Amino acid sequence: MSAVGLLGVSPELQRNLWLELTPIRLIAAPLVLFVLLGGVGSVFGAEAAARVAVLLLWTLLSLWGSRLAAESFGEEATGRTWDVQRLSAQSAWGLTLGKLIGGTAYVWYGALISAAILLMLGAETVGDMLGAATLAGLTAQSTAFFTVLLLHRFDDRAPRAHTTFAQIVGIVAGWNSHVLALPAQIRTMAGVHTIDWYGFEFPADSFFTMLQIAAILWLVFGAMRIIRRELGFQDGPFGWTLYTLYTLVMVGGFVSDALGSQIATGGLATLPVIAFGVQSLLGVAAFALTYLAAFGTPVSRIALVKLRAAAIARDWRGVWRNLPAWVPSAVAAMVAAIFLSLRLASSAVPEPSAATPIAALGFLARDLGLIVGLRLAYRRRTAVTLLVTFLFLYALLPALLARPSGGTLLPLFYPGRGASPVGLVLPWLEAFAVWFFGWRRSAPRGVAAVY
Amino acid sequence: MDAAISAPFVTVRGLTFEYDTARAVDDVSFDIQRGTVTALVGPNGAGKTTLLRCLAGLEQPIAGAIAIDSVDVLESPRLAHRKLGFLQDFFGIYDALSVERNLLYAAAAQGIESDRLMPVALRAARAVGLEDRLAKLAGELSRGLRQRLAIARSLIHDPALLLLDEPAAGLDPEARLELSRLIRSLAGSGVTLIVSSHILSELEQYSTHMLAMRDGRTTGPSQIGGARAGAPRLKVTIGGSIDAAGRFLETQPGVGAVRVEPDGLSFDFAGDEAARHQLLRALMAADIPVTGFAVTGADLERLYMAGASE
Repeated sequence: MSAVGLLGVSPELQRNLWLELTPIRLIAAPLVLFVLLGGVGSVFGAEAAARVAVLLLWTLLSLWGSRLAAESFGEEATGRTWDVQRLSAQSAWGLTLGKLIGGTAYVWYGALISAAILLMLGAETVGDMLGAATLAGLTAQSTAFFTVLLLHRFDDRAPRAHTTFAQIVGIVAGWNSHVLALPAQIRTMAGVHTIDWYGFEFPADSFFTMLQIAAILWLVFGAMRIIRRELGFQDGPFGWTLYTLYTLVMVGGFVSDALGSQIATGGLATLPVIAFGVQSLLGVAAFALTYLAAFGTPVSRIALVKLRAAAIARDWRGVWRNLPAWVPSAVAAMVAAIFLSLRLASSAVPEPSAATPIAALGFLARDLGLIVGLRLAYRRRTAVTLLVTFLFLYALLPALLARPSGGTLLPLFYPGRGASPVGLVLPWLEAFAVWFFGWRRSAPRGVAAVY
Repeated sequence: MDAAISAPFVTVRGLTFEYDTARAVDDVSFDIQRGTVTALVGPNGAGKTTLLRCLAGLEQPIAGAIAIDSVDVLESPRLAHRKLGFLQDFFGIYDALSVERNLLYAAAAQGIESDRLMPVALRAARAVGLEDRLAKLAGELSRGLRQRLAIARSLIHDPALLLLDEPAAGLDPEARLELSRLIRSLAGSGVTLIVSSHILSELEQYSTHMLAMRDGRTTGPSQIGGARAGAPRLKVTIGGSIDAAGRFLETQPGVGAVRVEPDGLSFDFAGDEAARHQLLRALMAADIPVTGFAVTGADLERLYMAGASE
């Protein structure tokens, strides 16, 4: 396809290809790689050359690839061309894929050459190595791209720092997926080689690879949703709602007695928290998603003003469009907590009590109030403020007060496992105080939105 | 008059925008007619750039409504973007791409069909006088030429409204003159323009209206002496009887309402440089003792200062 032809299909992809695949770079990459690997091969032998080729693959796709993926947006923000793109007619998908594929085209070109050399060297398990490096590269790049976009939503004044941070996050994500050390160790320890998911048996490695591919696709989808918002589309927390549903459905597959017995055959079943965790996986997932969404999305004063105005006007479409992303997950958490509470109430197990999930819900409501309130009150360094606040609430204060009070004050800080009414009421009192006083102090007011 | 023509092209109502807790635009309302050139003036920090970014749909105001050619910018920003071009106080061009590739990309990004990309890019390059520099990298162009490239990019999809934020900033006198000519030519072709700048004398050369901004609030838009784009205001200083000169001027073609000022006469003049030359010749032939004859920026300054003192 000619350059003009590709421009018609994806202007952003063609622009990135113009910048990335210049004639000099196209010639330089094979030259450097052949000289390097040829040199290593002639001095240290084919096996050493194969090892270097694998290292090169990882370096290109994960280390450099994550940088290029983050730069594909970061450079637009730095060069202030992003506003120009926002004014264009390009679609969110066009911009997302154009940047992600086009911006990293050069490392994939280099990786292809490295892979060809690896194949020529005839290294054993070359397919596995290529697959692992490719998956790691894709994970690193999509993570870095998503992260740089997410950071831009919080603060559009530090694109260079964001690019570097996003690259680091991408490398860590890629490395984790490449080595798969932790999950593999846990599986070996627990003796889990197959996964029971909704009653179907899957080989563990294939299952986790599929989950990883799904994670990559979700990261790309998340990046597209952020770009879509930047382009001016206001269609509410649709993307996060989908992701919440996906996670709950995916996690729901593990909520079975089969997994419990699998764990029991390993060495971890003696930990009661694991047993409880398996029973309440859906609830834990919904709580985790709510915290993730609350910490991971900025609080928009404008959206809150419009949300209030829409609610007063009973404009439900307007309410949905301005709804914070954590709300759908919080609703799921609420449903899960009530369900779990009812289940615990009808079970013979003394601990945790039926009050525990409801108390946990109270702490969630309090924490959401704190996050929203602090983000509205402090414009800058909100991440540090939130970190300090939550360390204080969940670590420092309980540690200071646990011993002197003999543990009686702990229900102030954690959902208790017993059925004490104090343990149930305290978190909800805290939540009420935070929302009532925090909202009175920080809520945007004074202007009614015009529709 | 046709109702569609007389309806405001840009309508802003109750626009309010806040950065954190600072209100940058405060309950602003105004209408702008099609085919006009509106000078957006005001001191630094008055809210001009924020207002333009809101008009372009790049910022979400906390309240208010904006319509461009009946399209609700806040509700349908993508639809509004088809109708507007925006040149911000930075160029936003790709330095590592050639002029041609910058324009081809801009055209494709605006959804122009593949078979029309090259003709459209060439037309835009010609409109700003860059057709002989197509192969040159944008990063190698002078500031004035980069400015022209950025304008060409903003115009590539034939927008009916062009927003220019401090377009003359950093340009040398020659480039400013070129820019002024370009804006008048665009206005002549029917494009509605809103131009923000600090330099009132420059704005006066092409503006028909003025929208003054101070502390996030606007006054206007006021019509600048009834002038039209390309019809500058002239000032003639006279060594003898001002009344006789005034009566004579009123009989001359292209001369608008003549106003007597302490040191001469000022009036709108609808005519090009050749017509101005003819007018001066007519004054000399009528033996009127002309001691000064110049295009002036006094009207815009007067309007601005009057607004500022209110």
